[in-house]
Amino acid sequence: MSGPAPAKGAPRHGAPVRLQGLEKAYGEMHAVRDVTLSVAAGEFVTLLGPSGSGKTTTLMMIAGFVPASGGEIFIDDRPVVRVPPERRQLGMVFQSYALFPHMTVAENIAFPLRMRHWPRGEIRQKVAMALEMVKLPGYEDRAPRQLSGGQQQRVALARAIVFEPRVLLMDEPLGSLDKKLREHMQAEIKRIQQQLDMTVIYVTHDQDEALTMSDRIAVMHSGRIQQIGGPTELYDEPVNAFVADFIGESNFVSGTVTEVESDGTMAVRHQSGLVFRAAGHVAVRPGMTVVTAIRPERLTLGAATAADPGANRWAGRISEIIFLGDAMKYKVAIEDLTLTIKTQDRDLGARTRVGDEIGVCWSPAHTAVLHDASDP
Amino acid sequence: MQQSEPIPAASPAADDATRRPPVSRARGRPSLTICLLLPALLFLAIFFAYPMVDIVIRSFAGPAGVSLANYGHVIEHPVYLRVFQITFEIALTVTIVALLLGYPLAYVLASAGRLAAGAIMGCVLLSLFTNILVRTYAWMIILAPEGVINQLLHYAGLGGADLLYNRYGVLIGMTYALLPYMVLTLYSVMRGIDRKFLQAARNLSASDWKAFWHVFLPLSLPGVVGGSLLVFILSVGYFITPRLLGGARDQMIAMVIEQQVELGANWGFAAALAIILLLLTTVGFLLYDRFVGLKSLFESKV
Repeated sequence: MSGPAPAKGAPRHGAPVRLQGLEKAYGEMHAVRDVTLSVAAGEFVTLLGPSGSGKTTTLMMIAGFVPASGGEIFIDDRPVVRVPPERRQLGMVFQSYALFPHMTVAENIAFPLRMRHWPRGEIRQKVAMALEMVKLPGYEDRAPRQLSGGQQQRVALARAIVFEPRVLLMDEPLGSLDKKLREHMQAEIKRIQQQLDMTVIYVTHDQDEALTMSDRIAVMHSGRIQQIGGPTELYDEPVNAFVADFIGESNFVSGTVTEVESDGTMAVRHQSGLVFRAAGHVAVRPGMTVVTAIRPERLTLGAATAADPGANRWAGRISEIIFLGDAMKYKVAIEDLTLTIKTQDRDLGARTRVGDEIGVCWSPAHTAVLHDASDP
Repeated sequence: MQQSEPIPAASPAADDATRRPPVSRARGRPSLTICLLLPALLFLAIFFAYPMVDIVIRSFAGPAGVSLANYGHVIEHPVYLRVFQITFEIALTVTIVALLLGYPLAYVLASAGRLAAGAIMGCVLLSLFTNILVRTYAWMIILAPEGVINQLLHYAGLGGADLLYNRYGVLIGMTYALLPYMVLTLYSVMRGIDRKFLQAARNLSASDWKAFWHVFLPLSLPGVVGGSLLVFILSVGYFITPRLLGGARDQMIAMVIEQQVELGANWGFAAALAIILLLLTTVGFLLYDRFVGLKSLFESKV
């Protein structure tokens, strides 16, 4: 990961960040437990989790505001746990933006440069460039409170990147923006990250945001990393029920393995007696209890998959139909299970109503067998 | 209601205030606001406005109708101007010393943990809860020629210090009595400063001291302005402490006014002194506003 040192004057690149067995305990309460994570130079990694999962505490330890109880943090391969925040040279965008209210926009953005004793003329030039980059040119003399939330967010971003940090930390930066603006800013942040070639560690509880922006995502729950992987990997192959449930929506079906074929495909019997097949990457033996997760959009309704002979096919009764705008959501009761099915097929809506009998089909390949059967 | 002009984003409160009273309903019936204010307004009218007007009238009363004799008396006798000068000197010194002592105390109070903050706050409030006379007499014992301080100085081989019945006594006693007002005002402002600002400053490469100087101090200025004003106003009219701890040369204006009323029953002259004090204080505020600005006291920047 650490290539040859860049030549003098060459554009600087993002720095790698490595967390090793990072711990934070408040008395008996462990906020962060044994977090190990390696972020490559220039990578965009998101810490995703619900509130109280330890993601913000982890970020605050990287920034240096929360002392670690154990473990080590390496930035550019240098241990920094004992380095004060002002010497870590990290850019950071705070959740509440933390723009200094007694300074103008230009003074806010100039602050990190003034602290680094840059010459006055260069500061002015850099501030203008940073404002250009976040598309707020000409806003130098405004006060932060005269700006909208979205504009404040841009100023906070400009202040965090103006000194060209090699690592940028972001703590739920888009949390207080409305949906449209949020999506727009997601694209802007990605653009700036690529333009400046920074390593970004991003904290959010919004799974869509994480899936859209990240190279890799670390899903956190009760202080631990549950799974680290790319967006598609997390979505298609969640390791446990928490990840399967937190990222996207999942139907959980548990049962006992009755048979394992040579290619790893297994037959599973649900407690109702219904049997289905799942193609798992997990080593199982007949007699074991497994939990599987199936995405609502991977289930199809009616006879649509009759062509696929290997498909699972159960019959049930429609208990609810929900119109989502671009899609329809069905709830289908099968024995004591209720499966959620998402379909783009609007015509189906005209042909079906609550109470109808209907077939539910899905492919064994789309059935994720979870490593551990912890409750979602 | 039609809005003819865009409202500046900076003053949502002012906008609310202008929009709230519904014009149509207020007609014929006293509005709720007036009714709620009425008791306080009545109280102020009887116990503040009326005596105030009475003082003004008395100050202009002469043997034959309206006269400027009382004011003339003040100007003709430099001793009174000297008293005003002493009063403002003492008030200013007390304010500055209280600020210098109170600011670090309030800072520690605002950033300490709950237990430590509680203990400090307890000490600050305890001194407020104790009767001012008791506290002033306590200072008389401490500052006396054979008091604790002089004994300590003696043991340390530094000789003695004359601390009672002079300017030092007045300054020590008044600063002590007024310090809690300074600390509490500063504390309330400092508590409202989001620690995120300091974190942001540190993150942007400011050391502890620079973060304090560039971020915390400017944000705490409303507290500095408010606390200084409060202590100065209280100091200017202070009576008991200078009376008990001061000497003949440290007479403050409140003491002179008291003497005029108690000893001479000279109501007109006492009233004139009070009016002059009021005018001088007002001029002082205007100057203060001109050079320091009271704006920050009333507007929240955060």
